Amino acid sequence: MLTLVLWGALAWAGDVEPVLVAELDRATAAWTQAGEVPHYVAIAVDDIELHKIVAREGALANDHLEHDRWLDVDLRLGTPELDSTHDLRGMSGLANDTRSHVPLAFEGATVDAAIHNAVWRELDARWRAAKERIVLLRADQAVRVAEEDPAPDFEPRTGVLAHQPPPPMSIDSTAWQPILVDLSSVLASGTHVVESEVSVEGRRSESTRVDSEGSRLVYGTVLVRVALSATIVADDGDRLVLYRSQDVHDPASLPDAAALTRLARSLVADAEALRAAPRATPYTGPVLLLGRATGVFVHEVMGHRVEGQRNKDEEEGKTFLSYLGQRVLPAGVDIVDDPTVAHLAGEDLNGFYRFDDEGVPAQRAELVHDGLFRGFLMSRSPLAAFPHSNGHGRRSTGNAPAARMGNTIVSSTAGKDLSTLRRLLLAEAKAQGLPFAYIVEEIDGGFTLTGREMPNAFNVRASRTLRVWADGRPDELVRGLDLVGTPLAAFQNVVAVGDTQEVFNGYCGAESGWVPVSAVAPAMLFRRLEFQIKEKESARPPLLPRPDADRNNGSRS
Amino acid sequence: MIAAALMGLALAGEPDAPILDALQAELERSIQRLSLADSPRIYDLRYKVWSVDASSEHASFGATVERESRRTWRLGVEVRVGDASYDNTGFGGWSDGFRAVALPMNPTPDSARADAWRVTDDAYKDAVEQYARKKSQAVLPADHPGDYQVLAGPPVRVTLDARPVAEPVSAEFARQLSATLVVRPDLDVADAWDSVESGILWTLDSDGTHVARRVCEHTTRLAARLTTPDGATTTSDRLVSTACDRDDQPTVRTRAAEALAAEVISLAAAKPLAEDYVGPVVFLDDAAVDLFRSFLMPQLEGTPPEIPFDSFFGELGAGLDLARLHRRVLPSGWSVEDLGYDPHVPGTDLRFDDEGVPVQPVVAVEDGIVHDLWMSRTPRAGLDGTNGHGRASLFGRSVGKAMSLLVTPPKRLSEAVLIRRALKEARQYELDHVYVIRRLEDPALARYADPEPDIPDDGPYLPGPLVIERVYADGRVEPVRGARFAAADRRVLRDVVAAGPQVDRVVLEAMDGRRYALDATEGSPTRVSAPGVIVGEMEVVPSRSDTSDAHVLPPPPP
Repeated sequence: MLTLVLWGALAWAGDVEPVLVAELDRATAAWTQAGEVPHYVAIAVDDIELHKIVAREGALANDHLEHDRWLDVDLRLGTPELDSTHDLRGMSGLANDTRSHVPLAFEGATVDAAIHNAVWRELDARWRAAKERIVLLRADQAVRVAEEDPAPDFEPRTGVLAHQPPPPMSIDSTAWQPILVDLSSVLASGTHVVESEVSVEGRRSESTRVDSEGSRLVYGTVLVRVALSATIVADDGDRLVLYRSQDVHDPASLPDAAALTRLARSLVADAEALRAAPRATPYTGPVLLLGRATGVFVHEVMGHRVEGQRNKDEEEGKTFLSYLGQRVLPAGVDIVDDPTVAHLAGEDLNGFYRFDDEGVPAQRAELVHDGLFRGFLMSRSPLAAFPHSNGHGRRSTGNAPAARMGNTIVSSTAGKDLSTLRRLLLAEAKAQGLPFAYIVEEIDGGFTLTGREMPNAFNVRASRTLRVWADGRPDELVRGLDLVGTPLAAFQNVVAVGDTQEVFNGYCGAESGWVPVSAVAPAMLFRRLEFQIKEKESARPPLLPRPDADRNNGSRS
Repeated sequence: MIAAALMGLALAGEPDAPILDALQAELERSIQRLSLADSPRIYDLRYKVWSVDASSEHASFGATVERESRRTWRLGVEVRVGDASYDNTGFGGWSDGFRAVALPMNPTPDSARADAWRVTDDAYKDAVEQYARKKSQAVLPADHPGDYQVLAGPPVRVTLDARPVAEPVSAEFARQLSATLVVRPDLDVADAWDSVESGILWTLDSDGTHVARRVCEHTTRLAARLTTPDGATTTSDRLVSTACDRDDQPTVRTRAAEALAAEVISLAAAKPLAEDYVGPVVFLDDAAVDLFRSFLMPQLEGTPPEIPFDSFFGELGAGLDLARLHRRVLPSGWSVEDLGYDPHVPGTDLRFDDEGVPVQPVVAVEDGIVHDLWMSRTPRAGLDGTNGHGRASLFGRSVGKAMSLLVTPPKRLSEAVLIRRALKEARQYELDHVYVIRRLEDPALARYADPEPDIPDDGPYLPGPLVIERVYADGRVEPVRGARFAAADRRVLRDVVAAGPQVDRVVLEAMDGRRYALDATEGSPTRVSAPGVIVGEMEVVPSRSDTSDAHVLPPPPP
């Protein structure tokens, strides 16, 4: 039986679908004859259109348009309970398992024949590799102890039919080139700016997927980003890269030139201010994260730890597995991951999609409800307690899908306004006998270690941090701090949450590649967090002044 | 010795003159003012400015898989600190004073100068630190001739021709070439890469050099790979590299595709080599060129290797000096020369080298003995200095390289006579046959044959034989596949016993010798003209194959 999911007009199948179906049928017949039919095969073709316009230093640096098409085959020999994708332990784990990154033809009279050939080769190669792997797996299971999580390797599902290609994408080079060139002049005008760049990048991704369960899918997204960056070097060698971006689903929704000019000017001012700011020292005490910073914090500290497959991997820390139903955050706090939300808090969300990369319709996944931990992000790799996918199996081309975040959304039924949170922050500092506390306005990313061998800890990179004095002195911008800590302790220190959500759109890298994500959150106040000092480069700033400043006796026009 | 001459001055009116003026101004500002206290100063600074329009098509099984079209501006910077007798170069490791940066596709004078400012600053700091590393570790020989040759005479200021205009490559033509290769349904690769570059490479330096050379190259690579039922993979190719504006290209390229298609059919029918063979081996056609390219050319490159940097990662830098000055590399009677400027070599105009020196013809080998080497401005004990053969990537030290190599034997036999002579030699080994090698594998395609190619990295090596014929004394000819050379090294050239027809090819060389790291159409075009030969004794043995690598699924019907 097939589940039929319809959005928009039903113009069945992209151009490549009949070829994929024919090759799947042909291969299945041959495998049947050979007596070893995979329990599951999916063939996906990713069509990627990329248009990027870049300007630097008042000049057009690049205007590049490309179309790539990639083939991905997921082939599983064995049974859903134990198949050829199962992790191998010990020496056998070194066996080469090459999930390939196969470029595919996209144009020409013989394009179908070329795709037939490529799919044939990849199906053949994957089947032969799976056959070798099954032999190793059987020995692994016989020689080694039983695994901690007895869940199957794969969740069989009914096939899905849907045809929802993303809309066409058109970025007008003629209009954008002069805007970006002008913006790049604004960025380069900073007295101490050594490098800067502004770009508009559009990416249209369309996937055509067929599988042995009968799924026939065409789906995808359009993501467009305008990004500005400026690099400045402080006298102590600290190389500061400031970045601002806006992500939309339609190029027509990009900010206009005036708004971008204001953004560029504020970026330069921020960069100059940060260069002049003092480097702070290690600290532990109360910290207030504003909304975007909270979003990234939750992404790094909780989000990666609730990716389902990590909780069946025996090298992982499984931080939240034993906290099911238990309190991890204050009452009233909810966290969900909902890729079906396209817009929130006035912004388009990067983590929006309709189907994941295993052909499962995107679904809202409840992670925390009223402060209690409730569940995981699930792909089709089940956990014993969570046997079903919730549509979070994601990958970039060439990688095997894994449960990943989409739109991670934090909210609170007891949110407080920002001035209240600030008052609470200072009260907490006084209670702890501290002369100041910190507000983190921006976080530009971070990383987290989720395994057992290394500390199960996070490092979240604060990019704009204010020292807030308890005695009423003006707030002071500081640089050189990163938030560090361990996840359970960090969340136990949450004392209050804000009432206004902010959006952070970004790209997240993990084992299944880079995927677009969003984090939406209000501010969050912590009784105690820890800052460590950020690494710093050692190169002196440029020895000579910028050439244009030199011509003007040191002043920039 | 080079006498740098004041040649035709055609700088005014260059459409890119404002960009170059801005870069020249930054070069001069850097020479005058870029310095650190208590550190060596810049004594030589060079900018190489690459402004090229490039278009490429990659077709597979008759359809397009990849397309690229862009204008590229890049700036390469070479900073030398200290003085010509001892500077930051010639020592291993990276961050050594040579850097490159991408300029905007439409640079303005201000943007170009700002990029030059940043990259020169970085390169200078690198050079000062590399100088210190070298001082701390390097022990130079007593006859160290210095690190750089300062040229006497007025600076060279010349513009060679205007920016060429080339048509972008045709998608349809690339697809046709690829489709021509599809002679069997079970091929793994039937690909054509077609690439055109046209533009200008400027060299500016602190001596006042200003050389503009046109860049004009149209390179096509064709490749086909077959996996036979025994699991062996065979990858063969054709390379056609011509000027970007020649009008005979389609025919040449189509013929190359047809020849490769025919070769694929022949390779599919060939039997795998079953037994080891020791005896005379004949190299003909492209294999002859590759034999000399692999074993002779490195012995004639005169730039001394870098002194390795003893680092945490082990020794960094090429330590092998392969040049064989005053030694025998070929039998008596053989000569080797480089013709210098050769209008048939596509790519960057080679009337001047990458250090702004006029390219000279060089007779390197006379009567089989090396008397001269291809030299850049990096001196070598016992030689006079540069002969204008300095070639480099955009961000590396120029090294002496061939440009148009001519290998001349004392006597040439016809192909038939050469093979008869080889069969006569074979009788001494009690053999009734010899192996004739017509094509070697191309390391640049190694990744298409094997994702993890096993390539030696400790000196020149001979790629494996690909198109092989077993030729019997009674005239029978059997195609053979699945072989490799055992223990072949450069001394096989001294064991050449006879020469045959001359073969003339343009090949793509890697400036660092790592041909296997090149992309399908990447590398510096170099002409090689060499005769077919008999090597007196070589060992040819079966290569390993694995039946589990053979296809299990039947190929799609045609």
